[in-house]
Amino acid sequence: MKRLNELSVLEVLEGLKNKKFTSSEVTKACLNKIRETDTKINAFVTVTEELALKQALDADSKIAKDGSKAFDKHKLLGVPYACKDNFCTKGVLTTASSNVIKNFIPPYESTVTQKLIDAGVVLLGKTNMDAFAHGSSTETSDFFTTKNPKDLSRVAGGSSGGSAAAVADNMCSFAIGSETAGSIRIPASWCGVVGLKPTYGRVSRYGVIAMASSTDSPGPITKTVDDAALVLEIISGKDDMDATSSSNKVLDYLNLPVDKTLPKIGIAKSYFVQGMEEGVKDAVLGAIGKLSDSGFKTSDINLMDPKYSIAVYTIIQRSEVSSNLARFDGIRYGFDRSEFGQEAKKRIMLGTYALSAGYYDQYYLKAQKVRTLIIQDFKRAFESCDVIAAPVVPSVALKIGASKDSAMFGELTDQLNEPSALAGLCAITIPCGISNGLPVGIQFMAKQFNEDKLISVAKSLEKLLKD
Amino acid sequence: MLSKEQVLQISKLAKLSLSDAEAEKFRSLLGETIDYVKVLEELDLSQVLPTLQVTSITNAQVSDEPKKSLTKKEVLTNAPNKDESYVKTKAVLNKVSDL
Repeated sequence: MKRLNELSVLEVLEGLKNKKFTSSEVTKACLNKIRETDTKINAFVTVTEELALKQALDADSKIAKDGSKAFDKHKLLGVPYACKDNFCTKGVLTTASSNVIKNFIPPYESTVTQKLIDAGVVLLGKTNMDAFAHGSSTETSDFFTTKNPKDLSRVAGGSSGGSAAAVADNMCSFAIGSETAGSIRIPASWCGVVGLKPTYGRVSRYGVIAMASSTDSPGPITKTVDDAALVLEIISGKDDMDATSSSNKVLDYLNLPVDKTLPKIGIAKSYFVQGMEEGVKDAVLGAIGKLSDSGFKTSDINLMDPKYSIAVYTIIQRSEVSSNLARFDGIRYGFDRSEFGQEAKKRIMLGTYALSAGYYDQYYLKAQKVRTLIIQDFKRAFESCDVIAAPVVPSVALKIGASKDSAMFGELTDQLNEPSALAGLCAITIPCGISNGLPVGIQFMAKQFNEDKLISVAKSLEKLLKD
Repeated sequence: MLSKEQVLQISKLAKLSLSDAEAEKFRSLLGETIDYVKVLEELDLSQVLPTLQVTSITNAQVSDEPKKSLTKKEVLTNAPNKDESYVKTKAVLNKVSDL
């Protein structure tokens, strides 16, 4: 029988509705787990124990008073979660894992965390990340590296490493992360959990400490696809505070109508890059094979070589980073700019150069033109399929220290996620196998606002892999 | 490869003060990155327009109505140097003749 901290979101909700246990009990189980193992894993920057217990008690009172009706208004009532530390949580320390703002207490709530509060969640704490989200391993956190729960000598991936590790180690029922290009998919894949990167604009960025404003996408990291679907519904929607947020209808992603025809799956051959680990390739192709055997039509599709996306993403992201991090002046909040870590300084420098007089056309403008080609490339691909299947990353979780002193570690690791991120598409990763004892994730990508197709295919695969 | 002067100029624009060792390290790292992105020169971009944002949204506006906002106290919570009503910062103008 599962322990309370091992339950999925839906299992917690079912248990609470049927009075099998209380939110306080689930919350305490999670807090105990954090106490037990987080000294080894380092998923959390801040654990909000007092707040969590108070919120759990409030949830239990609501349930005692209104019974299962309480869940109509508050769809995640009493469910304990962990939040990446780049979401402004009012009154709760928010650091982006950076020494520059290690003392920052936000005076306002991000839209995502406000929506979760309104849904009745319990906040367990804020999770570790690459500082300012600059990385793919959570090694550039100014505080500490988050270890992979499956192998403590390896990284959890990044930049949402803390959130992914917390879910994988059952320290919470679900977590919130964010992705600029790979920062949900990679840690989810390396830790063996589900990660969903919504369409750009599906989820509001208000109150999320910005990295690259033209690709940043907050999203859920969960134990199951159903959990990701429910959390996605809660956090999505138009927000007046985010001019890029979409008024596209938010679907009931958990209860989607059954597809009359199965979505067609395109296999991105160019994403099986040279040097990819055989075990990763086998696991991903094996999963696609299972889908094909169960009736899904699959076909090979051609996509642009990921090498161009690496260059485009490096220029655009670092340029936008240099602009976004200009606000950290140590005057209105935070410490002096000398507190930036090496990775942040490196990215600010490249971005400043790419945007400076005489170089803007050569770098930023050129990158935005190639971005157009990447978007057109996907448009063409989606004429012959509904979702695109691919590996998430060419290897399983790397050993701690692999990223040291690399000029472009983050961008190179993210290569299979950058094209879809630049095009603002949605994507999901679910665990599909093991290689050398470590989790392998498969990703599915779809056109903007086609999260329903992703969820449908991912759910089917999840079921096939269980059976 | 960038020159040391270029690296120092960029650091000035970015308001980052670098040590000599850092400047040399970044000179090499930036050089590597700049070399990498040259791969974009392989592509014919003569007929291509840039994409500045990937939503189809234009002219996103909100109505200009006064709303409840943060109090002065809340705004000043995190300022390292402040008085009751202001964030304090270094002097920008030194003399009346600077005006």
